[in-house]
Amino acid sequence: MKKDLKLIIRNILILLTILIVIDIIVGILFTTISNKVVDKNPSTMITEYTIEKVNTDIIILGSSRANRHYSPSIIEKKLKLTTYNCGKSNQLNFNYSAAMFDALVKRYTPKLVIFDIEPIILDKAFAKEYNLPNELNHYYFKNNLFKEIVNNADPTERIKILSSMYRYNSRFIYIFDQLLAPKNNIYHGYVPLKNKGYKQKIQYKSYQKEGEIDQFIVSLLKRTIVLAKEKNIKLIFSISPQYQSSNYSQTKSYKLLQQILNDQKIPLINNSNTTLISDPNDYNDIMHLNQRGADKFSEKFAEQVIKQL
Amino acid sequence: MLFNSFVFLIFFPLVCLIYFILPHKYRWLFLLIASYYFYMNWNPAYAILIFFSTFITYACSLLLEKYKENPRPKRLFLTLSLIINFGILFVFKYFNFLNESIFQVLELMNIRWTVPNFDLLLPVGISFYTFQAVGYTIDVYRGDIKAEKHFGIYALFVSFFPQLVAGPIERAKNLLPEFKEKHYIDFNRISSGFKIMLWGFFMKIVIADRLSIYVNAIYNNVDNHNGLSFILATLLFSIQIYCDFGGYSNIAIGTAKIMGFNLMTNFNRPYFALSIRDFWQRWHISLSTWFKDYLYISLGGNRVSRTRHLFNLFLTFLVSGIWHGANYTFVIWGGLHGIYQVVGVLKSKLVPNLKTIKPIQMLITFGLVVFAWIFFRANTITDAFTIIKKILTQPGNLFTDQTTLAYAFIGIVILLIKDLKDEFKLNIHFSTSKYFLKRYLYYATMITIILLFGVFDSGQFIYFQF
Repeated sequence: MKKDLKLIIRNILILLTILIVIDIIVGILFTTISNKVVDKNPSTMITEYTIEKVNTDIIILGSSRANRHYSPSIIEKKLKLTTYNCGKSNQLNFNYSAAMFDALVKRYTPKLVIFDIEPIILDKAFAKEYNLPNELNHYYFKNNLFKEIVNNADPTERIKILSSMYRYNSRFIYIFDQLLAPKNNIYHGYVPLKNKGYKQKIQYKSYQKEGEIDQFIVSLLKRTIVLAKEKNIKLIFSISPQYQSSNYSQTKSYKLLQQILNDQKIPLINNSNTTLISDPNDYNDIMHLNQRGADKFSEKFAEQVIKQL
Repeated sequence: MLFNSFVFLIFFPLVCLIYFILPHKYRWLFLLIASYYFYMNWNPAYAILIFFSTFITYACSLLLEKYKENPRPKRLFLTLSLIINFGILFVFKYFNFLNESIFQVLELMNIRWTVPNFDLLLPVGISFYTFQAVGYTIDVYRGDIKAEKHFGIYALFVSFFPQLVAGPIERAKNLLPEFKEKHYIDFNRISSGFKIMLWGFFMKIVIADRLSIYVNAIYNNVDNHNGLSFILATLLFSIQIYCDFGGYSNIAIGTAKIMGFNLMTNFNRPYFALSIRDFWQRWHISLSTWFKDYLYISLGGNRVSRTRHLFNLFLTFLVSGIWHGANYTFVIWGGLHGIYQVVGVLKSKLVPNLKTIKPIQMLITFGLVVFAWIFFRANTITDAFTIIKKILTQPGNLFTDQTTLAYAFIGIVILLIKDLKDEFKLNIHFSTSKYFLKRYLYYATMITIILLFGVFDSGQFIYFQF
């Protein structure tokens, strides 16, 4: 039995050593390659680019809705300010935008930051559903707010994240795809959707009116506002169109959002329904405009922004 | 506690360590505490249900043995145990379903049915431990085993954490004696358990959880997708459910093996089956043999008239469908497999010497199984029929999520190599290689693939809901 125990300990140590070596190699390899891709093709490595390189006057932050809805070229033309769309697919939780804002203002001071948000970002169930902080994993050790966001999602992350392989989990194909087949026809991060149109009827979405508030997201929102004021950065919150109606305005989370923004005199440009863009041919699905719709929206939105400046 | 959670990675080595340090006479108690702790991580209150089920089956089995020469009280105690155990299962799992079904039928006749539903959460693994405990009682009733006198050891048999929430559904004659054996640290056994666990984690984290992203996107949005997407999603679901449940079973078997316990094989490369009968000898083996031993044989099996035999077969699979969940989708899924079995028996009687090529038999079997999975996965019966209609009439465009499919593809290729190697006994060795370096590179590669390509949001195992 003692012999077996020694064998087990020896083999565990060997396996751990091999794994640590692989982990270090993978970490170095992925960091090197992703840095190369960011230089070569910034729009597709948007998280890395936002954190390390972006330097335009206007920054647009948010989820795929931000990424698909705001055309930097149209906004640049109207506002005469350089613009970059830093929206990232799936990142509907405000923690991602707050993290990006925190990281980029550590490097430089943009003039205006537009946050494309969902009306119920402060709702706990919503925040939980879209909590995908692994996008921030590989910058975990470089930014304290990232650490806070990742740890808040799962306290065990602080241990898992010690592994480089875990930090780069599910990024292998993405990074190599961009390295081998870069998509170069993207202007300043804007990735519009094809003009296929949306043939469904407008659907009604019912939110829970008294849903619990996510205090962590509230604190992130407040911290973002404070930071912007310290750096003298103009903030605008925007809710872009979606092809559905809902009772969001009656929710506790939306009311709180309005109250916080009102108190801080931060404008909220609300185009959440189909009033601004009503033609179903301008939509791709419930949540996204297609290119035609997005270009129309960007024109009208830029005019709304001018009124706020 | 989920096997694919970080907490389990701390819990299990700790349990192993303490288990092997403790003197043999205290080990059962420690494992019992660890098992209840494992279960109470979900909902502490529901541990009472396991305890109650344990107590009832324990007491009834002792009484069954006491009155083994006296058929009347013997039958009475068996019935009592079955009614109480299946009664609990019914209340938690089937009451609302039955209540709503009665409501719908009576509503058609303009009769008002006002019995309210129970607002109860389904206890994780209730179908598994209930069947294990009931199986034990029936074994004692039949005289196949002696009633266990030691309450603690019996309680451990019902609640043993590796197989508590999703099987394999063990037999008392196999597992109970193992709790009394003294297990030593054995390098070969521990290494073999580790390999099985590692493969289980790979199946679950790399393949099943990745595929679930695509499958859920399609099956949860039936109105927005077309036939081609449903064909792909159904094919991928067939791999997902195999890797999800097969993965769980492997982790359970590996976990138990490391501690010295041998659990039964639950999956044996089911998609290489040459017939539906063969499929059920390879898929969820512990459940299909349970139904065979305790239901099919109790109904008379094949030692009855042909019509009755076919009815027994059909009924067994129908009940197996209902076991999976309180939804008509599962009833139809079970019924379909029942029909497949009946047709299989009739075919072998009518054309006993029909020769077909093996790959074609395999393909037909796979096709029939995949078709039935539509009902298993669809959220409602209406969804299932809409999906079939769309597959037949509305091919449309294929929804592709390239990244998800690419990661899944890597995993599926590795799975295919492994299953082909095992099925056809190909002379390829990785984990079993005699070369030390090759073996350890295999382990390291598998762990690297899990860490780099796996999905780490601790996705629930599909079979937990049953």
